[in-house]
Amino acid sequence: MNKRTIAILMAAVMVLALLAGCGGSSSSSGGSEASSGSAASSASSSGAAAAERKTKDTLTVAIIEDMMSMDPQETNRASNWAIQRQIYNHLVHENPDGSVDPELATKWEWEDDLTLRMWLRDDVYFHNGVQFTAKDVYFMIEKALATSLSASTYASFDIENTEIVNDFEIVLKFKQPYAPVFNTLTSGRGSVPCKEYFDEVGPEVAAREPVGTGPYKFVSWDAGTQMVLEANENYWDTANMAKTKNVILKVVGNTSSRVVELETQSSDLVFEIATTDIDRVNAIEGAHADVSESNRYMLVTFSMKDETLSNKDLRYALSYAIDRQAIINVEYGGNALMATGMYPHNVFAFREIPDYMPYDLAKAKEYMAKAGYPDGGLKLLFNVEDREVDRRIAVMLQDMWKQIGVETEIIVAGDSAYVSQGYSYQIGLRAGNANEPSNILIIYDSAFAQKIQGCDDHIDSELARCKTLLDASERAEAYGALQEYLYDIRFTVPLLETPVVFGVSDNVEGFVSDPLQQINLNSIVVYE
Amino acid sequence: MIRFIIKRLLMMIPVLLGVTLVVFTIMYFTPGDPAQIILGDMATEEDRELFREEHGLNGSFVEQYINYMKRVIVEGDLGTSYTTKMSVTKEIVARFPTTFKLAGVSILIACIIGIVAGVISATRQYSVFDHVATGISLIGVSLPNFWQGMMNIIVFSVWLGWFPPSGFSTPKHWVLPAITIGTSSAANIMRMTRSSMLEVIRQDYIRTARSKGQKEGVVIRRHALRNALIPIITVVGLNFGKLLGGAVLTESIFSIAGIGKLMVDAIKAKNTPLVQGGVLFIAVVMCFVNLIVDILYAFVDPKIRSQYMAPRRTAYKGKEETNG
Repeated sequence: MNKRTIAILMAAVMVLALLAGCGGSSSSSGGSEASSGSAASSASSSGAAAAERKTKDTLTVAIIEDMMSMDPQETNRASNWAIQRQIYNHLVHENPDGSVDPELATKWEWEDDLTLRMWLRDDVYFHNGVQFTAKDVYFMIEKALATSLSASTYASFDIENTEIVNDFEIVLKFKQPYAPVFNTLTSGRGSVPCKEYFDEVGPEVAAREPVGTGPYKFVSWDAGTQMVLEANENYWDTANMAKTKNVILKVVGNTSSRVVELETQSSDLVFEIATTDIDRVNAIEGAHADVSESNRYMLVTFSMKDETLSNKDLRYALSYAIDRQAIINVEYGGNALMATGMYPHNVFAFREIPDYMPYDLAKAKEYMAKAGYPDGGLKLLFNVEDREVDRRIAVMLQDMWKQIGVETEIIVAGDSAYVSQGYSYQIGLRAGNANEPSNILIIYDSAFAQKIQGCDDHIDSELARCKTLLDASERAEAYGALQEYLYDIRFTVPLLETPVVFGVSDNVEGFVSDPLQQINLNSIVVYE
Repeated sequence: MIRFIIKRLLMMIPVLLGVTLVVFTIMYFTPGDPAQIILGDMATEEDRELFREEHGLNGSFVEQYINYMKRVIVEGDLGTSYTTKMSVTKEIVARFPTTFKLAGVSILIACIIGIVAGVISATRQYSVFDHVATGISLIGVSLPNFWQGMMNIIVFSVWLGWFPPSGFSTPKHWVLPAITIGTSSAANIMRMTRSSMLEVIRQDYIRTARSKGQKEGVVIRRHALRNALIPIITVVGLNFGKLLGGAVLTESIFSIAGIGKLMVDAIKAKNTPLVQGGVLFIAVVMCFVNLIVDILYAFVDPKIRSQYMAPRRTAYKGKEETNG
């Protein structure tokens, strides 16, 4: 081959490579469309064929971000807790209906409003062979109270008077009656760590190489890339032993790249598919989108520190100018629920508000006039997080408010970062994800008054009181009344409830979604 | 040469001190409270105060900077990440091998494509190959990396299934990100090689070599390319240094846990120790890359080599003259 031929070949390769790149986009969508019809049939047939199929020993899961820490009390990210729960156990287990079942605790008894006696299992061992005892429970609470990421959650626990009766019995004491105790104990911050292991290796190593009592054991963690787990063959809960031997948790931060994981069959299960990608996932042969109800919600917040927005009529005007159905249709392809109250409908003590904030431009304009802006001419700052959906919703809201003469300047910045620069924003957009009223309504509390800063004594006292009501019906009634009050003062406009969407390979069996994405991987089987 | 290296290493000290001061100052005076950013809007003022105490954020600017420098110089401790509570050194060391591999493979691909195409283009100026290669290199420079990355994923992962779309654990995972970065660097190198070669091949000594009957390949390789290498080494060095500082977009698209992504996340969270440690590390890397580039100059160019050797030779010559 002479030099001339080599040169021509090289040029051809370069041009072909470029053309392949240029042609990629259109052909890709064509390919997806072509395969759309087969997804459903593939999904339905997979179950029947499952019995004859060979199982894989590794489940590959695409997760949205790397672990901040594997120490459960040292993180505030739900995505981290979703992974930690594979390695750790909680004292109790909360069912979707709010009832509580034993987990590491066998039974419990309220001795009075401030004293909870718990009896623990005596057959549980950590992955390092150390037996689980009451000392580990005490250590968990002590540790949580000492760290800025968990201290306020455990603020009602009275560690000084908490008593270890023996290895398998502990008396938890509280500073005041604390109704959400089981929610705290079943939350991510309620995973029980091994005290002896922490003492032996120190908190830094314990947070990187976790040791728990859960169905999976930690194997390795390649920071930012992946974590590997393997089944705990000595798991105490024999009925829930891990069905797949190995789990690889791949960090795939980009939303679109997570869909590609399914398209290329690189992952069996994918966390957090964007609602706008549901059709794209369902068009993949051999995979589908699992869409289910969640505890996620999105709301507009008004800063009460701002003189303009302290005008209630203006807040009413802004709320009636929002066409929430349009947002759901455009941004979520119809895959979200309209809010009908102040928090998600599937959370304890939810109170539906009749004729909840209808889209009514005439009414909005009427309130604008009452607020002193009959001709509009108002300009407000609107801070949104740097998330695609948030930005797009903000633009839609901007257009809607323009109809009543309110201009908004959208500032894209992490709200905590933005607020910490001097509390100068007026309107915000907040995405929440919680299943306990006290955690959802915490944003109205003056002590947590970062976004709303309502400083409303009634709200503060009611929030504090609700937490102390151990009687469920009394508590539900109090929260119901508080929701009506919040609707009336309208410091926020809850817009919608978003679904939780997983991308699931048709080769996966035993997957059960969860409103908070706290799924159990031990029940999953993957077929070849 | 050793004196030159030592001198350059000593010159790094004020550079690095300056970097720490500048970065610390920027991070300190940038609005935003790390406690608020990291703990989010569900934290109380007590939580935030606890966070500030945990991380020594209550002191004045001078106190905090002196404490930081003391730890860095005396204990070699770059601090602890606010988010992961892990040592900054460990965080960087954990990410660097990935970044180094990505940068190394990318620059290798870039050099192979860029230098070969550049040499052929220069030796066949205005030929079809030259026009095509120059055109492609122009497109290569203009195309954003993220677009190339996405196209590579669609073609080679989704359609053809040849390479995995994300991760960096096996050599197979390296291919797409390395090609994505490598092709744009290749375009730069190709353009530089072409222009440098065009300048050299018009020199008298090339004509002389040809007139002496040397084969064209030998003339190009031994006489032309070697003399054209200085600017090429500069471009390659700059590109390599830049890549060692992280290729944020490519890392994000291919879900690669490199230095670039680590830095962006740290800046967003106002994770000051990690930002400082990371920038300091990148500054050290850049200094070393520049040093290596300077040493390479001496290897390829005898004139530069003789400059490094000059003081010693002069002394020897002087002694010889005295003796004579």
